[in-house]
Amino acid sequence: MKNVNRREFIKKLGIGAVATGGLLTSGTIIASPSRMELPDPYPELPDGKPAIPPYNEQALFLNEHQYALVATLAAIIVPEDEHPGANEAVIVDDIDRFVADSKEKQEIYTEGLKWMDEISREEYGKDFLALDLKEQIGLLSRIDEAETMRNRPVTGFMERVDRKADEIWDDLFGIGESSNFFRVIHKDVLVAYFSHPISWNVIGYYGPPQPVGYLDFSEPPSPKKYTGAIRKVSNKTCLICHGEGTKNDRGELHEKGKLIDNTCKTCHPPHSPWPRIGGFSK
Amino acid sequence: MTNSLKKVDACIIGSGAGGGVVAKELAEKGMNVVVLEAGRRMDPLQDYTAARPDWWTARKNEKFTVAALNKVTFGTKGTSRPTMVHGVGGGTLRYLAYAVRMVPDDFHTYSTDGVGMDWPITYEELVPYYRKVEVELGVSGKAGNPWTPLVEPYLNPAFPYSYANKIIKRGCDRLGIRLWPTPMARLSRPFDGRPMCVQCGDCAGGCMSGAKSSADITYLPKAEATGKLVIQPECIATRINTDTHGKAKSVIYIDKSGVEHEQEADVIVVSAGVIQSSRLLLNSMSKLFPDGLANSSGLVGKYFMQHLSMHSSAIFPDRIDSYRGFFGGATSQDFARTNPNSPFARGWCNELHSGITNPVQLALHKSNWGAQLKDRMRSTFGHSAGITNVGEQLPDERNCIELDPEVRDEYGIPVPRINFAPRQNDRLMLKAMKKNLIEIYDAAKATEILYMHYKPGGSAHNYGGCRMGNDPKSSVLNSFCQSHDVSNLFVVDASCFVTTGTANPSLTIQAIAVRSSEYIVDQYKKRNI
Repeated sequence: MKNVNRREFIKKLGIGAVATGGLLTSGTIIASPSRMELPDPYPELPDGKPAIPPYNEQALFLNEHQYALVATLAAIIVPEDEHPGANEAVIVDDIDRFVADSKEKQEIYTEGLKWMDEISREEYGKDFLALDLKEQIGLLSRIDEAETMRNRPVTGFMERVDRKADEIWDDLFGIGESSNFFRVIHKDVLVAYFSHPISWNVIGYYGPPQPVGYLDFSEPPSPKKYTGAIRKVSNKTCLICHGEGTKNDRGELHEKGKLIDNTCKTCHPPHSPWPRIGGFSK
Repeated sequence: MTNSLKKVDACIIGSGAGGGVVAKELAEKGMNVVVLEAGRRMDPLQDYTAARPDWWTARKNEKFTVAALNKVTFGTKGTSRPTMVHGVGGGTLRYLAYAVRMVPDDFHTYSTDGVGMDWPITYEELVPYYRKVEVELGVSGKAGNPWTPLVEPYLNPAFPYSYANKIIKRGCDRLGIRLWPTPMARLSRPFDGRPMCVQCGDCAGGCMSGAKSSADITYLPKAEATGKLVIQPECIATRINTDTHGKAKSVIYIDKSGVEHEQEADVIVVSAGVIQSSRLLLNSMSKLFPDGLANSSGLVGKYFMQHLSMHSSAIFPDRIDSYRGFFGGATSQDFARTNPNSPFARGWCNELHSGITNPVQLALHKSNWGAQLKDRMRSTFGHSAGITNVGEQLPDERNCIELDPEVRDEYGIPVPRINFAPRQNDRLMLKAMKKNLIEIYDAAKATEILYMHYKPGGSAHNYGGCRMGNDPKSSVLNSFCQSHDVSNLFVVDASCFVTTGTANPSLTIQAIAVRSSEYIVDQYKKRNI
């Protein structure tokens, strides 16, 4: 039973294909999410299980087993390849913080992680961490598919037919009542990973907007800037105007040479003397 | 127990584009003014997140809203919550600072196209006020665009097109669509004691640097400097009381500790934003005004409109790094007038933007994971650019804000119920806007369209509810935003709009507010109100 494939099943029912596709106009594809287009997360299976960071004794909420489980899930969601993955950024610590901050998340994680082990024992007779990588990925794929289908908006007739097929599938071979846990952890991992500077070099991102901004916004991007480290901070010139000086409305240049926090007085937000109502409240 | 406060010359409810301007104009003319603002004072360095590594997810809407005012119900299905911003500065705290004028045609849609209603004012009458606001805000732009006449040179030079804009401009050039640098209420050079914009691009999260001309750093500090203005943050106005002669007498409000106050004033200006302004008037019913204050026409809350914003974003083959710089920057109003060949009246403007600019946003856009996610992020991040088509929604009486008969907020006051749907003309226009977007993306050689959607009700550009007009039977306000029924009551925000046009609302609200303030001061000195 565990080898029954949801897509194959729906195909055999002969109704899945109707929801497939998108609009094709001279080379432009508007993708609409549908069951047939759920991409395969791992076209090739990586060798060996991902290394996970040792338990952080200072963890705020997760216990040792939960910590290892979250780290493993994170490493499957954002794996290491020629570029660092979730575990290189130790984003399990970030998730630990997210969870500690929210009562609602504490419940979802406690129940969700327990449920991961239960479903794994049901399907394979072992805890999730004891599965091999292929089984882990296979199980997560099935959970992801089920959650995605269940959360799709139902608006028209064809969607209702599809939803019915999903319900039949869930009844026959489903993974039981899930708490949408995979969606929650998937989102948290992506938020933590792509907020971490380690990921910015992978995709070529300069970093947050302030305080430096992007004064080269009108030029084509230069690949040199993002293959290296995040923008270098020089302590000689103003970070914002790069010491070139920006003329104000009276045609004066700003003061050169006096830098506070690497920015000149005219440029840097915290130090520029523009008016504030009632000053800063602390 | 209601605490009665000393009478002032004017009490303004709301401190955004409308209230902020009126506060300054009145205070500078020597009137004693109190501004009630539901939200709190923002501290840009503490409250805005643009300098944090997790800036996009740390930017929480709850920071900019007050729970009691954010509660709305819906009379129509499938409508989203309209965006409301609460805080000293109002909607300008989060606006993208587009300082676009409406085009002359927008003011007389009935005469030219037989739809909507004509405004009681014309573009030409508003030009000097547009100019005043543009000078005050230090708008950066280039005069002489093909759509709006009588624009004098701006004080600050226009920003160049961003590289993302240039990519899409190739498509527009092929199709013969004219583009013009959008006038921006952001500084392209230091101006008026404020720094130039560093093109960080997070205007919507609140401007940390003070380069964006929001009301809290332009109009309000100048108003406070006169010593005539008191701003009361975190105070929610719940009711406007009237005296026996049918004049507005006082505003009842609740401060943050839950204490109720009564502020008497000679002139009362409601600038609480489209939804809250109508709600406040409807909630201020009394024996003299059984259907709500200033509502003898029965039109308070009626003709609620929103821009029909068709958001879209596409992926291009080459790297653009579109997260650099301001999100928008180039506009075309080529489609803003009625096209005699199309089945609908009026039109839209094209606003070019940068698409999906934050890695987290792109990663969450599709539910990818594993090796597939990393491949996709490496091949698509930095490749996006987009266009939003902003269409004009025609006024329709069925689209309205009314009071919910059952649901109340935490202070026991009925919440607004929103009835809103795109109607016949709107639906046809939405279809045409979609087609137009696909044409431009095709011409610009996009490889994939990431999304293209319209969310009914979800726009931040709300209009109507207390429209202006010359006839007290078919309008709530006169051309100076003065109530036809109550001579010392003014509604100065986007509620007074008769039609939406395609331009972003803030500049027009501010221009109307300046004009209205002149009238208030003049009439107040003559003791006419």
